[in-house]
Amino acid sequence: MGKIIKRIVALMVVLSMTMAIFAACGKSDVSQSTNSTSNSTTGKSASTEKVVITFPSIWVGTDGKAKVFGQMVDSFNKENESKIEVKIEEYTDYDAYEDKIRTTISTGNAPDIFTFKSSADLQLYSESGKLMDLTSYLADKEWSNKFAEGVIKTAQYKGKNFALPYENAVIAIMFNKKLLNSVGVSTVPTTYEELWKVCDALKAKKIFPTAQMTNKNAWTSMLWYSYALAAVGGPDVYEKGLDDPAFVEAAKIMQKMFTYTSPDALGADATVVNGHFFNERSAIYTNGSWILSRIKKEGVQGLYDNLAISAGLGYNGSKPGAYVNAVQAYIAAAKQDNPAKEEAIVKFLKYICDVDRVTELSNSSGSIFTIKSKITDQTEKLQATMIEQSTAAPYMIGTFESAMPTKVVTAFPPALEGLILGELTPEQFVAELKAANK
Amino acid sequence: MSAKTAQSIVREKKNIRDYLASFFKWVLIIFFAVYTLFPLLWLFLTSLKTNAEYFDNPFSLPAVPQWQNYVNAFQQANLGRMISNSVIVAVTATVINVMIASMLSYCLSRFKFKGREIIFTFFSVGVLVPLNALMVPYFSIFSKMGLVDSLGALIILYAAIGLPISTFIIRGFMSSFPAEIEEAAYIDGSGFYGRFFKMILPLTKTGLVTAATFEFITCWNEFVYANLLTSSPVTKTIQIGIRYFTNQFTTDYVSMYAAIIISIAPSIIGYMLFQKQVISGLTSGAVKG
Repeated sequence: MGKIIKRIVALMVVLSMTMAIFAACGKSDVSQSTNSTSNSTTGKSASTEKVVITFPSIWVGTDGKAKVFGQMVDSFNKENESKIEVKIEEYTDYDAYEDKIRTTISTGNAPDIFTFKSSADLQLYSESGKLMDLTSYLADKEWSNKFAEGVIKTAQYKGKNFALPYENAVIAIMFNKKLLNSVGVSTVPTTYEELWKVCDALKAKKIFPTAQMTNKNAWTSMLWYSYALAAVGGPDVYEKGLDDPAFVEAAKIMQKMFTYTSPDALGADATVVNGHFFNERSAIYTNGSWILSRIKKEGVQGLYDNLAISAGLGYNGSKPGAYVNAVQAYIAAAKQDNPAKEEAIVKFLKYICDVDRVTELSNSSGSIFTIKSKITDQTEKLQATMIEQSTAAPYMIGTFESAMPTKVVTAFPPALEGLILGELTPEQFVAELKAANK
Repeated sequence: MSAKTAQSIVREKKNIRDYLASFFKWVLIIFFAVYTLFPLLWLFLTSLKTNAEYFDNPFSLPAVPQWQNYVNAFQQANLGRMISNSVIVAVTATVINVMIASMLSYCLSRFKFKGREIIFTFFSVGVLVPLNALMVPYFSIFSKMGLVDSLGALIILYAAIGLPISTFIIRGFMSSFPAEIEEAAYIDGSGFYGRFFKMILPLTKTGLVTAATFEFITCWNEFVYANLLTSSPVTKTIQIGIRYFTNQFTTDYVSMYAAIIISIAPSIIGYMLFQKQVISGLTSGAVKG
């Protein structure tokens, strides 16, 4: 037995070391084709002058946009065969992707094209001087007119566009009408005062009114806080800053909201929240349009058809109907020395902004984009409702996460836990956020 | 007769005490066995469920075992290629690491020279440095070497970052090795390399296996640098494969758990093969320093 093990180990070592040598020898091919991390501006093959663009992408694997976006890239490559090739590098773990992008930019090896999600990163990357300035290209009306009104301006840094706003996060409040009906509620609440009554009725029937979370970035609870801020502080709440009393008042709403949550909210992540809503254990939920396809697939039978989509609620006489949205993905490109490569990158960016292609991408994934896509027969009915409601909304505000500096966003989940555990008052909760910002 | 009865009563009492001790021992053993194995069992059972079943009740049994999750893990995430990359990286890095660490430990433990303790402290401090803080310098180095997106980058990095802990372990074993035996070999005419390869290495095998085990596990489970230093599908390792089923907003949990089960299988097989050496290394290492 001992001899057999020795032989197996020796064989494995010899094999793996031999393969490692081969892998190292074969490395030149790989690095040539994935030149994103080098400073070379073209990936020329020996026989042609083909421009190779590397695009580390998160829209791969099980992502809802993976299939159609992949087809889009393939068709672009086919149309530009022997001239341009866009090479997708697959990244599925979003946090690790963000780490990688930050590292490559800070070491001067920015990928040719990449995406990011926060306005804090927009500022950081724009300041780095390592991104391509797209302002002059966006002066082309044929391209810029494809974007929703005013959205290009929101992605500017000091009047210049170092990134394109691409994917939009349209967040809606969702009510399970079946559960509401079971407690005698036939219309969805439009104010927080009405919401608390509905929550009391649900709680009395042992149905969790909502499911909250505090783990990771406390995503859905952060969205509820954004909606509370919209109701209390109005459209310019973020511009007023954390000193505005709306932040404390919204914290009081969150405190109350946590009295109506499932008992596992503290430390829960999105799995727990989704699990409760998808299985009709909780009745009220908020998330982006992308979740609809999952509700359809993973929710209990009939859940999707029982959903009512709602905009933000009114508070103390404020008008309901506000919508929370934010740019969910900006697309940026590395500064290029080679004009041919720069041109190729712009050509690709224009290609993926085509209205018909974006509409197909939207219909297939449930995501909503900053490009004016059309509502078609393929559009999910609830997604169409979200688009209609958000278009008609009296005002929109960003998510707390997208509008606040990274330090504040990071401080939000632990401060929220403190608020829920009674260790912090709403005033102290906001003070924690302010302290993080210093 | 009465003495006999008293003796039998004492024996009976002893028996009861032994039974009770044995009972509590087994309760404790079973408790820790369940405590340790339950997460693995849960992981395996969940990997056979649908996502809807998982969301409905994470602790329920699968209605119909979904072996398809394993097929998905292999086909969609290209796990076969990733496992092969991980094996190449982990085995090669472990061999290089243990080779260098044993040479270093030999010098640090058997020879007295100025600065010996400083060198050892310098290496030991490496254990305390959080690796994530070194992403930028490591990326810059490998980028300048032209090794980004190659298995070579991972092999070099893993072999290097494991040196502090391997040196710490192996030095402890070598220090406890009696100097007289080496001196006898020296008198018999054995040279520096002869003593190292023919005497020291075979006699400190347990320490080498312990260090190799730690190094292999580190290489196998490492994700941050695997993600940072590779980009094309041909260079990705198993830990990236596990995360194939997550994305920005959603996660296909059941397929991910199937991928995790597949990924831990080699470690379990490795442990089963080297169980004796690993346990004796860990226990004897506990009293060395």
